[in-house]
Amino acid sequence: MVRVRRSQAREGLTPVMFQILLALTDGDSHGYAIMKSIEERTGGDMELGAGTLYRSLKQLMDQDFIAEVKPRTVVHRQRRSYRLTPAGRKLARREAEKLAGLVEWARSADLLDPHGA
Amino acid sequence: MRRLLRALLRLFPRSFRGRYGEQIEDFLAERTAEVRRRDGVMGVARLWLVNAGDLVRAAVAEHRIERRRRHRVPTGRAPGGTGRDLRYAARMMRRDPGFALVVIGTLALGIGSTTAVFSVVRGVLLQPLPYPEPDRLGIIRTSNPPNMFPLSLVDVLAIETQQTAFDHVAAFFSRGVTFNDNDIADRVAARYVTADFFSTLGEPMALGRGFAPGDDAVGAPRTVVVSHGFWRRYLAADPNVVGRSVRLDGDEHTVIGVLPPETGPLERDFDVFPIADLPEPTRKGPFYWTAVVHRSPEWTAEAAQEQLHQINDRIFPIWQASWQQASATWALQDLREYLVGRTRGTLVLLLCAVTFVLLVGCTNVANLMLARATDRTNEIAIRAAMGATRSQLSRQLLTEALLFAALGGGVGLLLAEGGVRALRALGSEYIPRLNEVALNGGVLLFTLGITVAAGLLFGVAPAVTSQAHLIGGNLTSGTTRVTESRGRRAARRAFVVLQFALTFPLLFGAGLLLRSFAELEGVDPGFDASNVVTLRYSLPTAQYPEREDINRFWDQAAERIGSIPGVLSVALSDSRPPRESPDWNNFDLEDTPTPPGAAQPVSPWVTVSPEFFATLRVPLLRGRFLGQADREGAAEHVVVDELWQEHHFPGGDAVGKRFLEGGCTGDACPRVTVVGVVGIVKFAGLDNSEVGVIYYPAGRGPNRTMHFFVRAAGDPAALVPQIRAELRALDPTLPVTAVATARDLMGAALQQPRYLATVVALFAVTALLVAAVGIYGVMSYFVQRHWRDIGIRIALGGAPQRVFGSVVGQGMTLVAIGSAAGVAASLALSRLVAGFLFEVSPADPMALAAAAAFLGSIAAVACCAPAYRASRVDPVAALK
Repeated sequence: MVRVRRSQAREGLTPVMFQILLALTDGDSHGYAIMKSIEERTGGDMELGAGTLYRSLKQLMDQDFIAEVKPRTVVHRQRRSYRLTPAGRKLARREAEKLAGLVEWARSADLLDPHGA
Repeated sequence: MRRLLRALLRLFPRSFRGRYGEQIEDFLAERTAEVRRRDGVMGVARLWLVNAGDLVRAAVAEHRIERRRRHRVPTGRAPGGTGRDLRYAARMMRRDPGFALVVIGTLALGIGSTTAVFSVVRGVLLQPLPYPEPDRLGIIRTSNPPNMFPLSLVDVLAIETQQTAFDHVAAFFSRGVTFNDNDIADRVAARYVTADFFSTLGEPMALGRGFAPGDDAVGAPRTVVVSHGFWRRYLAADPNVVGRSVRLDGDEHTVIGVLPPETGPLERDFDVFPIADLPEPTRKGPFYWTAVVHRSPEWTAEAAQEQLHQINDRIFPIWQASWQQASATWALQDLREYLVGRTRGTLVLLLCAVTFVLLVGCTNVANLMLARATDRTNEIAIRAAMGATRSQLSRQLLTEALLFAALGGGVGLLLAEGGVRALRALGSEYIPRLNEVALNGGVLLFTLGITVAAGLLFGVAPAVTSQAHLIGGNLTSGTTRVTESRGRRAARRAFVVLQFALTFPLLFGAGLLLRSFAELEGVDPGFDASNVVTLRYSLPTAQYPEREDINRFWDQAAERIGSIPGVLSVALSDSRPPRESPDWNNFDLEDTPTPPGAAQPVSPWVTVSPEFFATLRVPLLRGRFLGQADREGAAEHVVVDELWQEHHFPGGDAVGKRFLEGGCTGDACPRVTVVGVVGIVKFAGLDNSEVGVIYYPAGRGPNRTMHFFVRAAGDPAALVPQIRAELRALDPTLPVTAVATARDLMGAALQQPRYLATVVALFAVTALLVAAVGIYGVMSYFVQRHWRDIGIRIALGGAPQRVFGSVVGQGMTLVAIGSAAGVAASLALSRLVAGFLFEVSPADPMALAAAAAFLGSIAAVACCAPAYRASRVDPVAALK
């Protein structure tokens, strides 16, 4: 019997989720900041809509890859911060390794400039 | 902006909205401020466009997850269960009450009328008779194909003594008798029965006892069983009535029993059941008895029938002198068939007609539902986007359809209740057992069945065609006109075709019946019906025992009535045209005798006084009329009509010809001589032109029941009180009955065909109107959808008349296809009405053409309104 691992849960890890996990590796952050961070990192290629962002956050929370952090200030009561859980960090690492493997494979197939990317 | 966002957030499941709603609002506010600083208004617009789409997609995805999550809960009820579907359907109904009213009204009419007619069919044709062991009850009559007629006393006695197939055998005949009690003198309906009558039927008594063996023996005291109604009306509901004496036709009868208030159909409509005398017969005839039998359980109907044939063959040689028709035998018939068989055709025809109306109604509702489904495309698309699966959406649409059907069925049931009451009031003259008709369990089950069938019929189409819409995601903004899918358009057109295909046979049937009715109305009854009134009078044996007493009374009565001012002439007859001739008799022509064993010819024998022909203005064609001298003297003289002459002496002269009367054979039999030929008067029904009539002079025999025919100078009805007064002066104990003008008699003869034609025509017109509404709706929608195309066509110089023509043409193509199918169906179904037609072929081209023309013109009118709107399209407005 094959045990289904969390990372292979039905929804799978979408690129947006991976980006969110990466954004949170730098420390706790709220929705808007996560979006800004992703936008900067991708050079504006990935522009997240509110719906996609919060849906992805919800899914990651539901699977315990991230957790909500109690707001520290009362200025933005509705603004909530998110933090990477150990499981989330592990998942991000595994995903990064998988991508690195893919990149290596693409490079060996001469698909990539050896100095690029 | 804030409002738009709120609206978009409302698309999400509540749990998601609660958790992230505020965060999303905050996120977008911050983002908007940033983009406005950076890219200005255009940037903000782009941002919101992108985010709106993103939010909708996210909402759809969240709903899907939500649903899956709930489905995984094993004990949880599926979302959108029946209760929720129903609540939703009720909400949709309240939102559009006009639509709901039309749909429920159409269904209620269809279901209500179908239920009413079905309850009659069930009560009359299908339900067992209200007797114990009704399947074993039968009727025996003489069968001499193609005729069926009653038995003679010889037959009754032979069956009673020789059969072994039946537990009980009884016999009866019916006639009116006069009931006298002090100053009361009323004509009541009597059924004379043999002793075993009530035990054969298994009918219990409310008071006293039924007859016992021996009560009908010669010389036994006269006894009578009375109906509950008679007991209440005339005997003051006296609980000690048993043993009391009542006078019927001048003879005292002892009451031995009272029937219960509800009886079976053989006793219903009769007031008294006197015991019949069974004297030793001297010949086989006359024929007025009917036998009713209760078959033994070990005998099949076929075996019993076979035994009857054997007994009949056995007694035939004994009575051959008075009865030589070897082809005649006894037929055992199911009692129910005997009672209701004649009405089967009418009821089945009505049930078919009303079912067609229901189908046309259902089709129309299906069409309306489809149109509404198109209007609701947005709503359905949103529901689909919010995670409703196809099966859920279909179930929702079906639930709505069934809710409509249930309401329609409920209202229809109320209408049916009223309809049954109306049918019972109107049709009791033509339809037996009507008082057994009720909306009972079986009928309710039927209504439930047709309601569900109707709901499925008009609910499935919108549910099926709605599927096509869900595929591409049809979430358009509210301002864009939603167009009809190809499948749905085809379905609506198919429905219109079907409606006309169903309507056509109804119109054709109505056309046939109306044509037949017109033919019947145009039949010449052969006499002048204006200013003539008729009255019936009977002379009981007790008061008028001899022929001389009877003749004296009739002579005096005619004289007294003739002396009333305003009376032109008075005649007497035992029959009333156009359809009452109680005495049919066989005869044998001297010139062309019937070979032994073959059936002798039969004719109505109408007994008349000499003034009959003058009073009814019947022309003499040959010879002479009957005179006063013909009722005395040894020679028997008769007058025949032209039809009789044509039938028996084609092209020749019947005057002077002779024949033997009614089954008498041998040289000793008196010869009857024809002395005159008169014009044809209808006595066997307006639709019967088969048999000629023999007119026999009144006064030769004891003519106890006669009709006065009084021709007046003015209004004949005004003379009735004076006529009554004159008759009362002659005998105060006897009642006058059956008062009717000759015009009333004509009207009564036409009543049933008129009734049937009217009802079927009513159904047909209803169906046509519904179908017309259907084609109007489809063509209106067509014009609305092609508004712009039509505008372009007109802008490019298309003539409005041609636009008009093309729209009408489109509609009429559907009508033509439907009608073509309808013609085929009509010809296949026309045998249902064939039995009701007079002088009209069931494939009558006139009726076919009339139905097509009527249907076509109404449909054309229905197409004209949308076509006219199309021809008036303003190209500028349409192209904006």
